[in-house]
Amino acid sequence: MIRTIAKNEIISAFRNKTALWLAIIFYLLAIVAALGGWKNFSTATQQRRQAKEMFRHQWVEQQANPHSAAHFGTYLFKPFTFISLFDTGLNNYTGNTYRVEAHNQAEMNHAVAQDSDTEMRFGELTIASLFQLFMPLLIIFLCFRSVSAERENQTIKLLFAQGLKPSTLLCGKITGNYLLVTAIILPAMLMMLIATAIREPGMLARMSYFNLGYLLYFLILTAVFVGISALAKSSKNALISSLGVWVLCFVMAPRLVAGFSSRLYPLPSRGEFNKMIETANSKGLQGDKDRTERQKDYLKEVLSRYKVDSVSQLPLNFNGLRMQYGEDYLSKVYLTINGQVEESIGKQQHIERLFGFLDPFIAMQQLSRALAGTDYNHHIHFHKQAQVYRDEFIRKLNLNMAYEDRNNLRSDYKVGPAFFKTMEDFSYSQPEANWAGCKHQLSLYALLFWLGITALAIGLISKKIAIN
Amino acid sequence: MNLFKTIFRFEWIQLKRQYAQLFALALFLIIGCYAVYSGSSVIKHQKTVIDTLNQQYNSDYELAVRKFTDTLTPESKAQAANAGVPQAIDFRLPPVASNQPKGFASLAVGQRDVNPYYQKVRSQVDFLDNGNMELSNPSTLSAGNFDLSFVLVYLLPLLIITLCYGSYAEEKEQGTYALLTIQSASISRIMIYKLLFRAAVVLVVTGLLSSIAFIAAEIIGATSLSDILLWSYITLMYIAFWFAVCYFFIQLKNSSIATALKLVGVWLFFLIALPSITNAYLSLANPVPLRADLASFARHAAEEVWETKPAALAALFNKNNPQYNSSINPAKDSTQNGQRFIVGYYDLLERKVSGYAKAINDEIEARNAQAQLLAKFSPSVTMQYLYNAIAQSGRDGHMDFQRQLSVFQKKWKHHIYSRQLAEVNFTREELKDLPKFTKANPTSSTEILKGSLSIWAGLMLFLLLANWNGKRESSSINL
Repeated sequence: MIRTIAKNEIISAFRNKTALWLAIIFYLLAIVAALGGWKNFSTATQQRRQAKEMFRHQWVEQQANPHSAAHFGTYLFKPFTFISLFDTGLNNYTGNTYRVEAHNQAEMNHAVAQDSDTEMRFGELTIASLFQLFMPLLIIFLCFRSVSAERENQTIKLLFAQGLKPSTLLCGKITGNYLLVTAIILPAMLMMLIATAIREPGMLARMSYFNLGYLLYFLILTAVFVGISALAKSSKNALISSLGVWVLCFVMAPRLVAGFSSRLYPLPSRGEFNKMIETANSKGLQGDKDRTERQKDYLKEVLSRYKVDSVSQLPLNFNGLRMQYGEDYLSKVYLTINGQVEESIGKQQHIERLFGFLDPFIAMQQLSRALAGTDYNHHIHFHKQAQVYRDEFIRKLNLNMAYEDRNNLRSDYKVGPAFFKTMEDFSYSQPEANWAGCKHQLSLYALLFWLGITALAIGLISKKIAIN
Repeated sequence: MNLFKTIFRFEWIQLKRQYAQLFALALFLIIGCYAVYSGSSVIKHQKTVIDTLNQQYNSDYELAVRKFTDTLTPESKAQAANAGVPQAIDFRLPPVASNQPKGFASLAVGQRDVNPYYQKVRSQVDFLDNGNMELSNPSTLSAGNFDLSFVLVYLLPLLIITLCYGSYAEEKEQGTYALLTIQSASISRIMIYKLLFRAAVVLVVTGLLSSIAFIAAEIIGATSLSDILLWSYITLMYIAFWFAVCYFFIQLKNSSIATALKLVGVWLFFLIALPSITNAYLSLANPVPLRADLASFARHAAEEVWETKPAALAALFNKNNPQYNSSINPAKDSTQNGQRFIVGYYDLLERKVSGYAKAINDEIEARNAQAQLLAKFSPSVTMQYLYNAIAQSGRDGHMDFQRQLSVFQKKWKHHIYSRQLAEVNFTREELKDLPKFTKANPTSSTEILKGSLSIWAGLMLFLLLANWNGKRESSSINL
C-alpha cells in the first residue's frame, strides 16, 4: 500500500509539473554554483601554488643573515580541499595566509570578508547553500499539499474507508516525496562523487559522507513537512506553517544561536589579548620569573653546561641561544593564552552544535562544513601545523646563528642556498574524514535524533489525522 | 471617504478576530525588540573595548611620565634619562585611534564586527599584517548579526506578505467577493484601501519598534534628528516597495496559495538568490587578491632599501622630506647607526610598498564599487547598505576611518621624526601635547537619498506593472 501511495504522489507531482519546474530551477542554480565554485577553487589553488613556489624560491635562493631572514620570514597558505568548492563554509571569514616571522606568533590573516562589503553577508551561492536552503523550500513546495489536499478533496475519507491506516498514508506520502527529492538530487550527487574521484580521490570518503549526510537531512525534512501537512487544517495553513518553520530554522536561528553563544562565552578583545601576551612574556606566566630573571638563569645554566665563567668563553654565539630561548618562551605564552581563546571559541561552537538538536539545519550546516574541511576545527588544525612549522623554522635559524656565527651577531654573517635549502618546505596534511566526523559527532547525533523524533512524531500524528 | 472609513473599520474588526495575524504582529515586535538588544550588546562590547584601551593608554601615560622622575635606583635613573627618547615614546605611548560607533550602529552593526575598529598608531606602517583584527568566532561572523536592520530587511517583507497575500483571494475563497463587486467602488479601489489599512498597521508596528530602538540606543537630540529622519524615510520606502510588490501580485487574482507562493518567491529572489548570484559573479569577475605579491615585493624592497648606502639613503630622504632639512648632519647621516638611516629606511620602504599596496587596494575598491552597483538591483541589499551608511558601520564607514587614520598617522610620524632626527627628547610637559586622534562622523544625506532612488525605481516598476495588469484585465472584460 505504501508503494501505491508513493507512486501516486510521484505521478501527481509530475502531472502538475511542480517537481519538474523545481528541478529545473535547482539545476540551473546548481550549475551556476558548481561552475562558479570550480572557477574560484581553481583560481585560488593556482594563486596559492604560485605564491608558495615564489616564496620557497625566494627563501632558498637568498644570501642573508639568518636573523634578518627570520625577521621577514616567509608565508604559508592554507590549501583548499576539492570539496570546499561545494561548501566554502567559513573560509571567507578565517583568513588563509600565515606569516612565519621571528619575535611574533602570527595568526591567520587576510580573510576575504575583511576586503568585502555588505553584500557578502547575504550569503554565497554554493552547492551547500542550495542543499541547505533551497532544497528544504523545494521539499516544502512538494509536500505542503500532500495530506491536506487529500482532506480538501475528500479523498482521505475514501482512502480510510478502504481500510488504509493513517500511518501507512503518511509513510507512503513521505516515501513518494523523498523518492522525488532523491531523484532530483542524486544526479548532482553522483556528479560530485565522480568529480571528486577524478580530482582528489583521497577525499572520496568525505564526499560520500557529505552526500549521505544530506540524504539523511532531506529525509528528515520530508517527514517534517509531510507531518505539518497532515496536521494543518488546510493546504494554505500547511504552506504558511512550513514557510514559517523555514524562516525560523534556516534564516533566523543561525544568527540567534551565534549571538547567544558569543554572549555566553565572550572573547577578549584583540587589545586585551595582545596585552596579555606582552605582559606574560615580560613578567612571566604564573609562577615564572620575569624576562630579565629568566634570561639571567638561562645564561647561568648555559655557562655551567659549558663549564665556563663568561659569555666570551662560550664556544658559541650566546645571542643565538638567547633569541631561541625567548622564542621558546613566547611560544609557551602564546599557546597558553591563545589556547584559552580557542577554548572559548570551542565552547561557542559546542553550544551551536547543541542547538542542532533543536534545528536540523544547524546540525547539517556544521556537518557539511566539517566534511568539506571548511569549519573552525580544520582552520585550527592548519593553524596548529603552521605554528609548529614556524617554531621549528625559527629555531633552525637561531641555532644556526648560535653554532655557526661565532662573531656574536655580526650583521655581515650570511648564509646562502646551501643552508636555506636544508630547511624543509611546509606541507600541510589534511586530517582524515573520521577526524572531521569525530569533531562533529554531536551534529551527527543531532541528525539521528531528528530522524528518531520525526519517526516518533509521524506515529503520533497518524493517530491525530483529522478526516474533515 | 465613507467607503475608505468603512473598509478601515471592517479590516480593523477582521484584524482583531484573526489571531494568526495578531500573533505575527506581536512576534515581529518581540523579535524586533530582541534584535535591538542583540545589536546593542555587540556595540556596547565594542565601546567597552575602546574605553579599556583608552584607560590602558592613560595608565601607560602615567607610567611614561613617572619614568622622568623615578631616580631611586641606578637602573631607573638610567631610564629617566631616556624617558623622553622619541623612539621610546613611539613604542610605549602609541596613541589609540578608535572608530567610535554611532548610536545607530546598535541598530545596524554592519561590517563593524569584521573590520578593525581601533588601532594603535605608530610611526611605521605595516602593510602586510592585519594584527588589529578582533578575535572572533568565524561562524558567528558567517551567521551575521541579529540586529534591527536584519529584522527590517529580512523579516519586515515577510510580515507584509503574511498580512497581504490573502487580501483578494480570501474574499473569493470565503464567498464575500460577490458582495464587493456590487459596491459602487471598483474592486481595485477596494483592494487599495485594504492594502492601505495593512500598510497603516505595518507603519504603526515599525514606528513603535523604531522608537523603542532609538530610545534603547540613546539616539536622541537634535544632532541625531537628520539621521532619524533618514532612517525613517528609507524604512518607509522599503515598506512602500513591498506593498507595491504585494499589490501587483494581488492584482493577478490568483488563489491565496498561489499568491503566497509567488510573493515568497519574490522575497527569495531579492533576499537570497540575487545577492548570492551577485556574490558568485563578483568572486569570479573580481576575486579578492591574495596579497602574496605585495608580501614578496615588501621583502624585496626591504632588502633593497637596507642595502642602500647610508649617505645615498639620507640624500633621498632629504629630497623627499625637505621639512626635516634643518637637522641634516652629514657626518652622522652617512653611517648606518645614524637616525637618518633608520628613519630613511622606513620612509623609503613605506613609499615603495604603499605604491604597490595602493594598486591592490584599488583593485579591492573597484570590486566593492561594482558590488554597490549590483546591489541596486536588489532593494533589500540596497537597504542594508543604506542602514549601514546611516550608522557609518559599512565598509564605506570603515574606509573613511582608515583615511582619517592615515592622515593622523602621518601627523604622528612627523611628531616623532622631527624629534628623532634632531635627536631631541620629549620633555615631561611635552607629553601632554602629544597628538590625539579624533574622528569626524559625517553622514552624507545626499548619498543616502541618492541610494534610495533604486528602491523608488523598484516601487514604481511594480506599481506600473500592477496598473498595466489592471488595464489589461478591464480591457479584456470590455471585449
